[in-house]
Amino acid sequence: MLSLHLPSEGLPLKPAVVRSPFIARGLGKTFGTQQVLDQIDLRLSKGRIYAIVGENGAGKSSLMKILSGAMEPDRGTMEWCAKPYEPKNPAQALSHGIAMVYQELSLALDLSVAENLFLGNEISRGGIISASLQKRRTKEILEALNHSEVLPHLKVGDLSPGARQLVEIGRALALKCDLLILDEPTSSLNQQDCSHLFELLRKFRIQGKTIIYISHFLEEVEAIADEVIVLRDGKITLQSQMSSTTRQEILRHMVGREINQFFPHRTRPATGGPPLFSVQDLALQVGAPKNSLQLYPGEILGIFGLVGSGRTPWLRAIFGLESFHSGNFLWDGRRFDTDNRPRPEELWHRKMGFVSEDRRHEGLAATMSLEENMALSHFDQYASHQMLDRPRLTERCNTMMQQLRLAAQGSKQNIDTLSGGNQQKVALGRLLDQGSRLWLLDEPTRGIDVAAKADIYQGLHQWLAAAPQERGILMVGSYLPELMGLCDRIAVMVQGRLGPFYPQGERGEAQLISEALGEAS
Amino acid sequence: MKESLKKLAPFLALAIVFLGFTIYNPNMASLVVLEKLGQQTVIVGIAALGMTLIIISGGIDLSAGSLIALTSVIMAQAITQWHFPAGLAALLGITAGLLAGWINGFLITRLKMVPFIVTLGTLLLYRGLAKALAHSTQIKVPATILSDFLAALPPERSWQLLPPGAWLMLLLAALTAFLLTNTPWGRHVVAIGSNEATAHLCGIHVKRIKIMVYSLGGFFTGLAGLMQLSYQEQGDPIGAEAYELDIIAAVVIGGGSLSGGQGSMLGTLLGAALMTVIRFGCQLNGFPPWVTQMATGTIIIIAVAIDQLRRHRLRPQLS
Repeated sequence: MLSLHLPSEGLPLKPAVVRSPFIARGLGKTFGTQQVLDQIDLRLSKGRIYAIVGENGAGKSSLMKILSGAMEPDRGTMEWCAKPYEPKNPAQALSHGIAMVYQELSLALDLSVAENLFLGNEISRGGIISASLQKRRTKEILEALNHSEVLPHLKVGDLSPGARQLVEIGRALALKCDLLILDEPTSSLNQQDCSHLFELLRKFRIQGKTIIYISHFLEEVEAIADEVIVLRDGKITLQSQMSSTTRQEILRHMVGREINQFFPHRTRPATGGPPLFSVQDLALQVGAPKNSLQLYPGEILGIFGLVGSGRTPWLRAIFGLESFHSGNFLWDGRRFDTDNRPRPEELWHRKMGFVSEDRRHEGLAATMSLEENMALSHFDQYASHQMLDRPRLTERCNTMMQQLRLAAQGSKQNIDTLSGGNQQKVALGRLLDQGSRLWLLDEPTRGIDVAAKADIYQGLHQWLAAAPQERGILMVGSYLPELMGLCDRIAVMVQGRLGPFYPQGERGEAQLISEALGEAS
Repeated sequence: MKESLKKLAPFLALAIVFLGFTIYNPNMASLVVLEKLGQQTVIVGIAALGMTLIIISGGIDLSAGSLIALTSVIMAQAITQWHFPAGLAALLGITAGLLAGWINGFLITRLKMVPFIVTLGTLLLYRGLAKALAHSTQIKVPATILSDFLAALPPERSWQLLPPGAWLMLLLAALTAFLLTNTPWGRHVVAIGSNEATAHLCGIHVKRIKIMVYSLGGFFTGLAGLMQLSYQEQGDPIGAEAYELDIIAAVVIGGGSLSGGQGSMLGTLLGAALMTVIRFGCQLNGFPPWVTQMATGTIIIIAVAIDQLRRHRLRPQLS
């Protein structure tokens, strides 16, 4: 019954709320020395879908956090329903009818689907949660999302990434909102669920809701949005009707320079001869796809996959950070398999290095200094007779900082006080300083500004060019321009299965994306 | 600048509290009192050195108080029942401490149990074992060379200022501080507490180092047990009750963070000394025990609050 209608139909809406647009004037936000938002003016009407696009670090997330009350702006004002809108926290924003679905899944894994859907917004009677009513509503919502198999009582921690994302979207539907912000809602969804979500959003539009849709998939943006807003370095560089702009124009405003200039020019190395590194039939679980690859000296190999495609666990399994079920790989004249499992300490010792996609939780040790973070994998190199040679550490760190154009007060600065870009340079500087010859990089420029990206690309290029016959890079990620700009060969991973590697340039962006979404099979 | 202020904070606090007591009662600032302070800080102070390592590595050890009692009972038993020479008895007790610490570390790393729970279990276990060994009575120990550690200094040795046990504590603190800041091993301990996932990714032997940290913690606790024996001249199965809380408090007042990655040996000693000064100052002036407790509690909360404020101001919230 309800699946034919809208999930939030029948919820009382204040008429004033429905009529009023959202206005922001001169919003600004600064962290330390980094200005993440600068003079943002926005005017949103009801019944329209706005796409906000921009690179990672362009300020999208910060802007949305301000709108949804998760962060307060330093400058500027907002208006909602012709009244000043100054939310101090997400709960206040919600009471104004403004809700956000987060990209980084913000679910409580130990709670059930129903409990998550109504978290902070519980249906209660006389102070007691009405579990049965919540379950019923949950069922209706999931039916509306075409996924009645996701049962209300299931624990969210037991669900697949895709199903979790549906729960996250469902949470927005459970809220009584007039302005709905979705941050990359489709990153873990398959094509069918995507189009279903789009249908729902179009219904919302007819209902008069305002929708902000954040994505870096331009195909999606073209398909769903009425208007596109491009952010770059904290400023709005383009706001236009979807119909009166082109993808080229959007890209140009996103990047601010031609993508080709952004990446250093490299000549593709020859792929003959013995490989530097090879993986044979590596499968993470019983029955999981067996994936192989060969990386030749001087090569940058790229694996493109969306969130949940299995790219990250597969790469981590090589470095011994996750276990695997079968297969093997050869490195440094040694075979690693289930009898001889790779361990990070041994791989570092054999000069293989790894950069995690999760800088905050895995990449860096927050209470330690810049130079110590650089040396974390190889303090032994700085010790003689178990004594640390600190002056030498400082000296080498300064060299690394110059090579990667790392801006800091000094090598003893606490890592926590650096910007994301500089932190990421430290994470890469660790491999540089350690002397490893094969770098496994997981989303190496996630969430950092454009200038830092350019420095990192330059750094990777110089490092590789210095001794191409004995070095190589294997990187995985979902940021296609980067993979296309850097890699010599690219393969796509979908649902844990790694496709064949093709030389970069043989397949276009659209083709790679459609493969990654699991369309071409 | 702010970092150095943080290091100075426990020192300042100690100076202010000491000065306050001295103004109130000038007797506070005499050599005898200084000696007493030394005596009373040593037991908690030595155990707190090990606890500092454990807390920096992101762990906790609730069994320390019980272990002090257990090791002191073992030493007392060895001297009185088994007729060990004093030195050997001390060695046996300290080794037992090391072993007990190793058991904590083993359970935490190999069986992947939470430190809080494991050591809550061993808190009862070691206490029970101490009572069983001593048949639930105090074991009087005749005066041996061990008694000298915390005995009051005879007048001809008053130039030493502090009893030998206090000097041992200072020496060990210096050694441990050096170990922590100037060796790869020490930096690995900090890295594990700062971010265990990062440490693992960087090829640091996380489990091995954690076991070593808990073992070292047990070693220091055993040494504290020796001091307890020396001070009380008996092995007491119900002694050192709840000392683990004083020990943890010393680390925290000294700038240690229960989330790991932060802490210093000097800070810990100052923290331990601060608590002794408060306790002793109150005693000297005849204040009731509740004053001591409330003052110590307040100091702990202020110490942690200052640390939190400082962290919030320093950290830019980059997302």
